[in-house]
Amino acid sequence: MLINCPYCGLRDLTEFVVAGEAVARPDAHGDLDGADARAAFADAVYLRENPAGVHREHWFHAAGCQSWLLVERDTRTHEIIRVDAISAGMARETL
Amino acid sequence: MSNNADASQQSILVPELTPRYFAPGRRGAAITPPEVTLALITDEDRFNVEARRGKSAELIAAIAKAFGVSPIDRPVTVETDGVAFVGVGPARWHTISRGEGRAGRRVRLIEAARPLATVVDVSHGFVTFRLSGPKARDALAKLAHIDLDPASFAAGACAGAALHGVNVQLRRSPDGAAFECAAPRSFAASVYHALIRAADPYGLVVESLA
Ligand SMILES: [Zn+2]
Repeated sequence: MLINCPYCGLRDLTEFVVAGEAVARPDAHGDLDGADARAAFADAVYLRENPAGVHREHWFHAAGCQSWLLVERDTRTHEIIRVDAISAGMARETL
Repeated sequence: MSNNADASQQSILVPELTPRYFAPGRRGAAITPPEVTLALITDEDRFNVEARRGKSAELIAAIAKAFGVSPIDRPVTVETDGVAFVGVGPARWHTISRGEGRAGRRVRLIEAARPLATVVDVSHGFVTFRLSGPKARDALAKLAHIDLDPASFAAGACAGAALHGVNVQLRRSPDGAAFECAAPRSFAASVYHALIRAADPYGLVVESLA
């Protein structure tokens, strides 16, 4: 499997580390001990969609440019549909 | 460790930066002339320069003003006399400075870049080997995961890449004739021995460049 890193170009799967489904971190402001915050963090930390189909994942180009990437991939075929570099300004919703 | 005020002046670093495993000489198959030369580069300063958030364009302009060349935000090398800017990641470069005048270039780099970037001297963190000769690419290809054909790894190209299971900074010289491999110092002995074994069938000269 090859991943097309936006900085490095096509690279072998073995150069990357996968960090699982792309889940946005919950809002960390306000009452972190409240029921809503606890539920949101439990959701973000433990619950995964695990779809048979299109999936969005965080990958890290460990052996290359050390960018975090957002990879859209079909879990049935391993087809990689899209790869974006994650930038500081990227909106939470896109993660 | 010496705390000498002259520590930024070149040659004082050379003895401590020559690894103990490094053994110059003729090795491998009895082919004349040997088809691979492996050289240790000992007169190198290396800085990791990473633009602060959103300051990439300003940093490139500041370096252009100080050195007369603009680093490119892609995996390519831009060179001027004694200094190279090697793209190693988004908004991040290795600045490699060699030979005479390093102390002055160090000051110039810090003055130009530090307001806009983090500048970290990583000279002691890497050991740099240069492979040249007609079979250098064949030797390297045994250990690399990336395609080293000129069509995909052209003159001036560079890549953070796995080599013999070690993440190295690999680049092809701007004239295309040599490959350079900067390995993290604590892994460099392993990379050195792997390179020697890979070059063995072609005949090999190991030498030190100062
Ligand atoms: Zn990359």
